[in-house]
Amino acid sequence: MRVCKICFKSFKLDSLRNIVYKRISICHRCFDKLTPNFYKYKIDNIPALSLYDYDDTFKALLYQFKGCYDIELGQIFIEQYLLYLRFVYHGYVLVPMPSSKEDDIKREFNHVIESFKIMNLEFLNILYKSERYKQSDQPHSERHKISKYLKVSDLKEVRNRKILLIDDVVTTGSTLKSAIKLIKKGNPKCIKILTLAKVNHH
Amino acid sequence: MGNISIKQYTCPICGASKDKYIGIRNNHYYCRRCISFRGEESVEQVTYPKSAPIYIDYELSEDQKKLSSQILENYKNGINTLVHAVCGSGKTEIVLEVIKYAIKCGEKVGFAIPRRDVVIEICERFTSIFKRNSVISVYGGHNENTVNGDLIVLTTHQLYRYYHYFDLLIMDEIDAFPFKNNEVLDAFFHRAIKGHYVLMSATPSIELLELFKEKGFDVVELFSRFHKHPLPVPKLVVANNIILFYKLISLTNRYIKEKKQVMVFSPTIESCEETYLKMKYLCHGGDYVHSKREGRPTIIDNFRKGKITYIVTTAVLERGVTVKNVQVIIYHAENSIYDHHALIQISGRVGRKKDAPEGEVIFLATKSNDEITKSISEIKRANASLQNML
Repeated sequence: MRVCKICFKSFKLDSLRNIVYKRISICHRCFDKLTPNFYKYKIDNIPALSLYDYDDTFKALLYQFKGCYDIELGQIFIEQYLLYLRFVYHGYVLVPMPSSKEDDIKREFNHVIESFKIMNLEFLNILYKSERYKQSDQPHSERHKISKYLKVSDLKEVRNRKILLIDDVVTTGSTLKSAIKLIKKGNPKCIKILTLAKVNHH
Repeated sequence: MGNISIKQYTCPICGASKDKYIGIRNNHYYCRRCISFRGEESVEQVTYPKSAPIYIDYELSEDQKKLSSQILENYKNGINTLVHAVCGSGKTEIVLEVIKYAIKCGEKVGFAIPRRDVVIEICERFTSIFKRNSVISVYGGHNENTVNGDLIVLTTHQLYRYYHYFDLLIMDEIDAFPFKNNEVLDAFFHRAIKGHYVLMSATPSIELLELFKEKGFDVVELFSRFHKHPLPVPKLVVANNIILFYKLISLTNRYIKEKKQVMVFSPTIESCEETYLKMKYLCHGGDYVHSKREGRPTIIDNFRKGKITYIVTTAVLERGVTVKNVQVIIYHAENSIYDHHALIQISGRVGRKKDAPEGEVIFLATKSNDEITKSISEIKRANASLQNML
């Protein structure tokens, strides 16, 4: 018996899913409310994968995790697909998209690193913002301006390595596009993108 | 970790202490149970004495006047009151005096209700009653101004914003979902109070009444609906699904013909939509609402104005909404979502206006159950006690 991190109710490891994945920390009832759609698409010809729909359930969970600083929710997004993701991204190093330093200090953790930690891959924390600039505060039409503020600190690290760019939510993809431009200059072996959720434009 | 609590941590806000509620961040403990409420800091505002004349265009009944002054006396003497009053007996009116008194003393007054629909409606009512004072409402998505008002009408969820704040806090529908048995909201409630409170309920459980009597509350009872007409006794129809649906259609059409508006209650959002989709071909001029329906306030408003003949709804309209000369049908009353408190509440939608006190309540069910029989016998009991009082 273990206790669900979301609804606090006890649940049993009865389904196959739970036997295969021993780390599961949310019950199937709570998990069923999420919509894992596995969007496969390309951003500037780089293959990208987004696990979930950016719907109300996901929004609420991300808010509790990122906005209310509930670190215990860190692994819930990845844990269900851990085996698959470890297999597909074997040998990659993770490059998280930058978030503001002030927020990370206030929050006492970085939410991107925290949610991808259980993949057990090396992190290369080389991207940063030169100014305090919040992408989520900008209208969609202004978001391409991020390229001015996005900087890379140690480009040599990237050389000849397989790079996986990670982020929580992709909306217009502007941040990822500028990150790709920067990383490409360091001649990596290849680049891929993995995000937790994708905002769908109808 | 096991079952033994090794953390020895109690949340200062909601009082959670069980291991499952406690998380660890950067080597210190934090409470996960109430975390999603705590976005912002609690608030503080200075109030000063003001006059608060009451504008109502009708007389209170003798019972109402008596209770009204009793509640006021209790408040002056620092005693908390539990008001046990049946639906439509005019609970809101009997707290007007105590609100007036508190505003006059320059105290902070709050009126909390579980549902936001009801908050909006009650706020409108208070605005017209306390014309000279500012009445503000606070609910999810409407919280820019949380303190600048003489009277704050809010959802129980929003109580988390206030710490040691209200001198007088009135809480209505205390037996209602989602407040019922919710420890977090209960903790917020006690945290928000500085002075004393008045609790109101149409259907308090016996345990609750006992508990409050033990705690030294004054429990007052108001049984008659203010126009002195008894609550209509629900009629139960038990049949299989097909006949039940036929019954629903024929009853609705009959009421429409008699120019009466109908509220059809359906257990879930899905069943609400489904029922309406089936009904709309057979009965005309209706609509449906549930908590996820967009434009809900307009639809409810249209219904109140009589532009819509019947409305299919979930429990969102179970409480607080007052429509003249309305008939009530509960479709699938046997559903486990309805306990007898809920059934009585819904029955209380009927005959709430002075000039149209009569009405019918029909329970349509595939089978009878304890909750249905209990609700019917309880209504009969309340009506009998009303007869005795008269």
